[in-house]
Amino acid sequence: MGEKLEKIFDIITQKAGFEGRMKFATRTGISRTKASKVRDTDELVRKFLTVAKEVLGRDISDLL
Amino acid sequence: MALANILQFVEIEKRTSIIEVSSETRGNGVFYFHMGVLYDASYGDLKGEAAALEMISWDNVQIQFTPIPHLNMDRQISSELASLILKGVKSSGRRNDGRDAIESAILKQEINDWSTNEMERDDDFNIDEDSAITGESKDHYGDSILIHKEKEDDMDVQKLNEAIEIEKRDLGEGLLATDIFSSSDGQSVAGYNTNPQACALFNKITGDLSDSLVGSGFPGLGRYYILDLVDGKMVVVIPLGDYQWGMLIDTKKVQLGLLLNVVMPKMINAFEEAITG
Repeated sequence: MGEKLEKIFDIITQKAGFEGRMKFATRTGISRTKASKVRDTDELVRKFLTVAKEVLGRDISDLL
Repeated sequence: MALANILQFVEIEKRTSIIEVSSETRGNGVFYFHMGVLYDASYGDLKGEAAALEMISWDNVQIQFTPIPHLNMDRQISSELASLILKGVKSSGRRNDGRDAIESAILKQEINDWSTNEMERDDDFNIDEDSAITGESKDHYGDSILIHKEKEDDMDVQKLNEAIEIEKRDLGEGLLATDIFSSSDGQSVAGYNTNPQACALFNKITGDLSDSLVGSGFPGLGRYYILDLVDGKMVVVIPLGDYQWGMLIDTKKVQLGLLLNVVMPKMINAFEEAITG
């Protein structure tokens, strides 16, 4: 559960450090721990990817 | 840039500031922020939310920031900034202005709604697996997210102290001192054997380091930086955006691998829980 969402957190950490991850968590209001408990719906993944793009300045959907 | 974007920046950066806004066509107004939370606004005879709603959709404004250490006033605006932006822009009928900020606000709301719904819908979801909220029911968990939405800019001090406790417990005698400090002013917000001078100075070092990397054309600072000190000691600093987490470690009592691969992920998870409520 939440595998794609967790992967998004990992990619952001890799690309922007913990600073980027905290920015992402603040903007989504969801921590990595909570994300791991949420079902990976297409809609939620799409919304996470949108915020990830705001934080990183690039689309990471190809990395999932 | 639209005013809504600037206000969201102030919110994200958790600034305490008086923001004077000046528009050639509409006049002057003021926003009051405390730690990124909109406390009050005034515009002509209007005060509080009414003033904020009137001004929030403005663009092409001149803005003057006056940072202040503390805002000595009661909060007059209970609504979230994102909600005010949505209301303000809708009432102005000018949806294209400040579109980024509006979309961002909508997106955050949608993600919270979605995640809440998904958790409530999931029959397999077992709240007891989450140590941070052990003992709370599923419905209560849903409520906790709603509470988060109301207090999204407040750091959860109790969880912050829990994060420090995790570090102390897992590093034991190897942890000589630690502080979580604000990146904006270098002041410690939680710690153990806290060292205010170190907080202020390492805050400056982190800023200089980041500037040096940018100036050198190097990649930006990653997850942490480490200083190897004499006498078997080391300093580890973890930049976390609005905050930084620094620690002085005795390497004779803690293995670096244990710190980086076992303890640090737990610390980061705990910190993240504190900032997301």
